[in-house]
Amino acid sequence: MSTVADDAPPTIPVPTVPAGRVRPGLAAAVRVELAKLTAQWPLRIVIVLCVLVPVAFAVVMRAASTMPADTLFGRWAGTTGFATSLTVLNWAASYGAPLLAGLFAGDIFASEDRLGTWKTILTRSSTRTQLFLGKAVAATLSVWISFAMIGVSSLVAGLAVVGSGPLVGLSGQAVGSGSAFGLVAASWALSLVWITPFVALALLLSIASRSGIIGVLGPVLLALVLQLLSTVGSGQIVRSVLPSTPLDAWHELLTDPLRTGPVLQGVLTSVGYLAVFSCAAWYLLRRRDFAGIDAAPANRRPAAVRISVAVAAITVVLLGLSGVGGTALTARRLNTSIAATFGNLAEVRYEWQTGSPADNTIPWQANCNRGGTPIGVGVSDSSGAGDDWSCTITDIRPSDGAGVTTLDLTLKSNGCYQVQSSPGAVGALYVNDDHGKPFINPLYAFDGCLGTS
Amino acid sequence: MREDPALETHALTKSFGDRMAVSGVDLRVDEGSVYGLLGRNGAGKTTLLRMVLGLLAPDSGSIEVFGEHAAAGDIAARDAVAGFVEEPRFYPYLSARRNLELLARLDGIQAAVTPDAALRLVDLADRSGDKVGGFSTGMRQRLGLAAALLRSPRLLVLDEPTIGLDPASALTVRTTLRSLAERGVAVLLSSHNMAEVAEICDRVLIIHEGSMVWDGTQADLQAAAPAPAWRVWTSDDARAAAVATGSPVRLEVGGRPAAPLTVHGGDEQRDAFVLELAAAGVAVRRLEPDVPPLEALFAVLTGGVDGNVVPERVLVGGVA
Repeated sequence: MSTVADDAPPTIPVPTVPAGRVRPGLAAAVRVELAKLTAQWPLRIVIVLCVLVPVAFAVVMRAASTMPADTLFGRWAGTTGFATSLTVLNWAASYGAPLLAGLFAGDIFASEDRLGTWKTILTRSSTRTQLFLGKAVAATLSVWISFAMIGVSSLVAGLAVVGSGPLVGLSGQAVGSGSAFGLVAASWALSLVWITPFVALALLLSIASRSGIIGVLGPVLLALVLQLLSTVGSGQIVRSVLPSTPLDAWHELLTDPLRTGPVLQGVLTSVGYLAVFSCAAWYLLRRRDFAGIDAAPANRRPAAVRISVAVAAITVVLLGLSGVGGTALTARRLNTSIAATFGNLAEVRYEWQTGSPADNTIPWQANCNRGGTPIGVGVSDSSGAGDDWSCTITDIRPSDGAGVTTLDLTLKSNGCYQVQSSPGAVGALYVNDDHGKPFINPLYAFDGCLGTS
Repeated sequence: MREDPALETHALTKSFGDRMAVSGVDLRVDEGSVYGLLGRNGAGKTTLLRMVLGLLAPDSGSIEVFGEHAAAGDIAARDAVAGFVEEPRFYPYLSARRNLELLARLDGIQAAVTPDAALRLVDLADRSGDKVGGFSTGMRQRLGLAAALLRSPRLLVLDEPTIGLDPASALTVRTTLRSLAERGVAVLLSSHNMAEVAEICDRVLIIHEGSMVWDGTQADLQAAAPAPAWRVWTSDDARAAAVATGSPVRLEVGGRPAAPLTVHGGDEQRDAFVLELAAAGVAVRRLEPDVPPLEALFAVLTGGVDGNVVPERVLVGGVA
């Protein structure tokens, strides 16, 4: 085979024998797509923001007097860098991930339609399968790397700016810095699983609609709809099929004892949606003719309309079914969770205050109910998400007979709760240790999760 | 034994809804030749080329490339094929060189021509670092040819490769295509430019309403073309008509004042007629060719005539 070198005078090439061509592999298609993605300045800006925004957040948390207490771990975001990173993870997983999926994957197929370059790449030696997989892998890698950069940036900035103090877990347990580092990293890594179906959805929308706008905004809109469905529905049936269920799987890693069931369920749910979205995307691309815009049937209903109608119909159905099925958010399970969390936090507070190990044998008992109904007076077992829960915590040691502590509690549909204690019973937000140094009273207000299954 | 042609189609058919774009096309393209595909807008040229390049699946019929059946999307069967349809398109945010580098990666690692060498071949070396978004139509055409040459194809399929090019660039492209054919490459190009087809094509294919209505050599086409005609402005049309009565030429008198006469006949008959006019004291003020024979035949084959009258749009602007 002749080769025209760069420094040779221009001559007409001699045709080659087809059998001599080395067929490009998937790696070539992936590299080409990554090169195209990273050459686009809007996506470069996104990558830079993935690094800078978490750093800015850590700096703000270091200086701010008010913490984002409505967010899981937010009340500790200015105390330890591990909580700073987990606070960012809440937002990144809920809104950042769908946005990243849309930005990197939502336009990756549609842009070929917009630029008219399908005919350019489909007449090379890479197969349609290789091009599909190349785009899918490149988009997924880009989203994963961007998401990981948020995680690394938030953790490094948090530790550097806020500090590396111990983390208070979702069961009230104290987590040492070494363990916390691993758990935070694992939480970010587990969230990559939840992101992947959104990447596949963005790819599907990009292929089906041939519109970058739908491909980019579609995953974000779906995430908002899922948030709505998750908020209004605590029924097991709908929750078990929502693609947002795996979003909460990382909570389990910060719970003691760790329950592997919900983690496994989250992974399986994600894999299921990933398979459905990916196969549908591949099917549509595989059967597509590239006949040019003039050959499109004139009466074809715009894909945007069809997709919108389908999403609206599915949403309405799921909303209708949102309350159907039993719920795992029962007073019985809440009693167990609150008692354990409060007990762990009482130990943490004692240790922070005295520097000595706490007595971990104190039996705590919780009684929770909704709507202000007097607890324990023959009322039925309450259930469901809401901000009208209240609990009483009692130290049931016969010798001590400690007083009863009342807690106001908001139980969310994702199985996590926010608790506000009575200051008179547990002390103020800031208390002093035995050396006079103030620290945040972990019993004053706290978070926990009991899961939804 | 007869060698497999570079391209052969059998009863190739494609429709879009109720519209038949290509109907039962049988086509054979041999190595070392340039084939010109002619047809009016919407005749089915681009659809046919899209099927040849594997971008579009035919409803029925088959395509063979160098003797191997090539289904739509069958990349392996089209390893020896390169080309483009409609205007070549590239990534506007990348430079010309970067575009070619990425396409070369999609071709495999044994590219016979480097991107820089391909750019020099089409005279774009000095713009290789510029983003394609700033390129003119003609530059994108040349870049499209460079992208095709990267594959060192044995069959080159081009859709109007010189459209939008300045005369010098168009000449370069035509020369390049002829050189490729001399090196054994089969070239199938569509064009609206009859003169270009006459200049570089060995065979001419004419497609009309999806069907192939002509497949022959330039010589075949010339032989089948109507007799040439000239438009003549004289000092005395009435006397000129009288002279023509006894001449072997056929004369049409223009219907409008100051309209020229139209003389039908071969070169020798035309010369004799001009001399007879001179002898009769009729001055020939202007003499110019009427519709070129190829264009006239094209118009006849593609329904562009009403009786024997070629429409003005065909005469003046070439094929519409």
